[in-house]
Amino acid sequence: MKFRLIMMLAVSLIMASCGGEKQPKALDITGQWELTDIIETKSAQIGSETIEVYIDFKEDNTFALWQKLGEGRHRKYEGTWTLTESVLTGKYSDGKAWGASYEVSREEGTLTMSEQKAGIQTYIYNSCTIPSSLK
Amino acid sequence: MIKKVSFLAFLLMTAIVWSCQKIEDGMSLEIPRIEDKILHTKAGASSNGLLVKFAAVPTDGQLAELAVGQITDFEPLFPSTPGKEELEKKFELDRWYVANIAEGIDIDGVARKLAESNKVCLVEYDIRMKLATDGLTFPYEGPVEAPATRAAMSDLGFNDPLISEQWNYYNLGDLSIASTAYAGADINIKDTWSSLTAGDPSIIVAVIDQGVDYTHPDLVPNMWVNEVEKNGKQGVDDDGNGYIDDIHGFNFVDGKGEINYDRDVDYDTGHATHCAGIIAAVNNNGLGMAGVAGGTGNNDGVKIMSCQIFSQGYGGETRFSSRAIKYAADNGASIISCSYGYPGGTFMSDGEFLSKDGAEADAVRYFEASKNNDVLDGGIAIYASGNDGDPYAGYPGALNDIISVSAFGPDYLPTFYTNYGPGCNIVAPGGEAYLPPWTSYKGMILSTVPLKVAPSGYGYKQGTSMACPHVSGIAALGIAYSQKIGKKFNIRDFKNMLVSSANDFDSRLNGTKTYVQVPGSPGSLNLGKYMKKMGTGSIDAWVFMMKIEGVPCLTAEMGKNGWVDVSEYFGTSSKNLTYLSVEVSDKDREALGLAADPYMEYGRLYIHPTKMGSGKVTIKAVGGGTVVGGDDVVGGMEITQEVSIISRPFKVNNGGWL
Repeated sequence: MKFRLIMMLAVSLIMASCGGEKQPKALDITGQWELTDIIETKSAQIGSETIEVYIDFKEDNTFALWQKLGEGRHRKYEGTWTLTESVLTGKYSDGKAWGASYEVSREEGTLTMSEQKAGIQTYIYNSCTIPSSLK
Repeated sequence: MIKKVSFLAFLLMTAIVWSCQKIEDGMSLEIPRIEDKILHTKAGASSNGLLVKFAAVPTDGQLAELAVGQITDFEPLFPSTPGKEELEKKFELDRWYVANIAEGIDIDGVARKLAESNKVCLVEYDIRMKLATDGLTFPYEGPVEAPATRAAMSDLGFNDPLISEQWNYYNLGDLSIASTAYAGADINIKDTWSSLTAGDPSIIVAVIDQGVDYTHPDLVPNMWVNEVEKNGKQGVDDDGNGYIDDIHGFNFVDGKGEINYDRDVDYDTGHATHCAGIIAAVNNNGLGMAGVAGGTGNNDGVKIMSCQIFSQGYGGETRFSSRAIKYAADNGASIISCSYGYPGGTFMSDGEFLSKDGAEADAVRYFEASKNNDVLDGGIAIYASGNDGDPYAGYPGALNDIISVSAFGPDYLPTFYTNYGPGCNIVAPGGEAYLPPWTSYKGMILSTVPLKVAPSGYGYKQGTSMACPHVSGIAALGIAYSQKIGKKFNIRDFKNMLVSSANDFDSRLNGTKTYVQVPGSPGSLNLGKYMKKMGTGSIDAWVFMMKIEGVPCLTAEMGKNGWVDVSEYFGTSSKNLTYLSVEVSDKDREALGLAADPYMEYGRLYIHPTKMGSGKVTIKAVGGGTVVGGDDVVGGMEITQEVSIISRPFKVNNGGWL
C-alpha cells in the first residue's frame, strides 16, 4: 500500500513537470544593449548622421546610457526605468522623463523597443558588452 | 668650354643670391643691398656675437676665411640632432651660425663686413629679449594646504584650497577682488574639467623662460622627466640628443642641464614657475592652486619642460631662445609657451621683421613642422603680446601665424599694460593689481613661485606673460581632448579653432577705466582705443572643445516649431549676439521637411521639421557690434557656426536619446 502511494506521487510529480500549463515568463530587459537598427531608416542612422547608443539596464531598475549623435563624444546619461508588463518608461537623473514610453519585446539577444507615443519608431538593440572606454 | 663653366658659375651665383632674397615685381631679381641683409640694430643686442645665416651651409674653409680680425670664431647656432637632419635642412637651420666677437669691438662694422660677403644672406643682431611682466610678485600669505579633514571640493570640482582665489578660471564677480569685478571674466574651464578632460601626460608644454622650479610640490608630478638622463651618468649625454644631463629641460644660458630658478631673486623672479603653474599645477591634490591642464590628481596632467633662456639677470638673447625652441621640437614638446618678446624699438620698421625672418622665426617654423603627438602634424607656438601698452603686438608674437595673447583683468576690460592692435590674436586673463578699491592684489593672477620668492610657494603676478600660459594650457587641453576622442588636425585648422573660440570682448569697450599703475597715482584708460583691437575676443575653453568635437548634432522635434539651444557653441555672450542669418541648403531643407525658415532668438535656434531626417544649418552672428566691421565701418567680427539637426518624433531638453 505504502509502495503504491509512493508510486502515485512520483507519477503525479512527473506528469506535473511535463504536462502542466506553461506559465508566461516575465519579460527581462536587464543587460547591456547596443542600438543596431532604426526600422524606418534601416540602420543606426538618421539622415547622414550615425547614431551610437549603448544602454545598460541594471537589475536595480537604474540605467546608464551612452550616446553619440554624429561627430563628437559619447555623452552619458543615467536614471531609472520601470517595466509594467511590456511597457517601458523611465526618467533621467535630472528628473526629466524620457521622451517616449516603449512597447518592448525580447528575443534571444535582441531587444525591440517601439515608441508608444506616436507609434512611429521602432528601435532594435542587440546584446553587447559596452566598451570599457566609455565607462 | 670656358663659356659653359662661366655660365654654370653664373647660374650658381644666381641660385645663391636667389635663396637669400625675395622676388619683387614678378620675375625681376635684385642684388640685395648691404643694409637689407642686416636685421635689427645693436640697441638692446648682445655685444659679443652676431647671428649669421649663410646662403648655403659653409665649409670650414669659408668660415675660416670670414673668421678673421674681430671675429674670434663661428659656431653653429643650432646643434644638429640625430635623425632631424632633413628637417634642419628644410628649414635652413643648418645655415645659421653665431659669429663670436671680442668685447669692445665696433659691432656695426663687423655686421656690415659680414653682410658684404656674397656667402652671407642675413646678419642678425643677437637681441636680448625681455619677459612680458613687470617682474613684481606679491606673495600669497594664507594657508596653502587643505586640512585633511576638510579637503573640500570647490565649485570647480577640485580640492585645491587656493582655487577660490583663481578668478581667472571661475569669476563670480567677487567684489573683494575689485569693485569692478565682472562675473564670467574667466576662461570658462569648469565644464571642460568636469566632463571632457583636464590633461594628458603624453602632452608636453615647453616653458621658454627663466628656469622652472621643478622641485615645487605643486609642480613635481607634472614636470617632464627625461628618464634616460635621470637614470644615466652625470656629465654624459646619455640619450645622445646633444645635451648633457637634460632631465627637466635645459639651461641654455649656462649651457648646462641643471635648471636654476632662485639663485638671485632680484632677477630670478619666479616668472617661469608662475607660468608653469598656470599651465599645469597639479589639480585636486589638496595643495595650493589648480593649473589649466594640471589633470585630476591622478597623474594625468600635461607635462612641463623647462627651457631656460634667462638666468640671474643674464640671457634672453635670440641665440638662446632659438636653440630652446629647437630643443623643444626635438624632445617632444607639442606647445611652446613664450612669455617674452623683443623690447620696443628693436626694429627699424614693422615690415623689417616680417620681410626678413630671423633665427627665431626659422626655429618656430621648424617647431611648427615637428610632430610630437598623435593629433597634430606639428607644434603650436604661443607668445605674450607684450606689456608696453603699444597699439601693436610685440615681436616675435606679432609674426604671422603665431598666436599672440593680450591681457584682460577681473573687470573683463583690457589691462592698462597690455599691447593691442595688429598682431594680437586673442585675449586671456593677465591680471591687474590696484583696481578700485585698491585694497588687494587679488586682481592679479595667483600661481606657483619658488619659496625664495614667496615663502608660501604662491604669489600674484600680472602681465601678458600670465595671459599667454592660459592659452597654452587650453591648447594643451585641446590636444588632450582630441586624442581622447580620436580627432586629428593640421596645425593651421587647430590654431584657427583656438583663436576663434572666443567670447565677445568689444561690447564693454565704452567710456573709461580707472586704474593705478603706481600706487597713489590713479590713471584713466580710454577704452574706445581698444575697440576691434583685442583679437577675436576672450578665450573660451569650452567653446574650443566644442569646435574640436566637430559639427554638433542636436535634436529637434518633428511636427513642431521648437527651439534648439546652440548657446554653448557661441560662447557665454550668445544671448547678446546679433544674429545675421540662418542658412540651410535646399537638399537639407528637403531632408528635414522644413515647414518654415529657421531663425535665431536669444541664443536659440527655432526650427520646424516635418520629417525624420538630418540636415546642416549654418548660423552667422556678429560679435562686438551689430554689424560686421570693415575698412570703412567700425563693427564686430563675424562668427559662423554649423550645426547638424536630427529630427525625431520627440525631443528631451537634456538631449537624451530615450
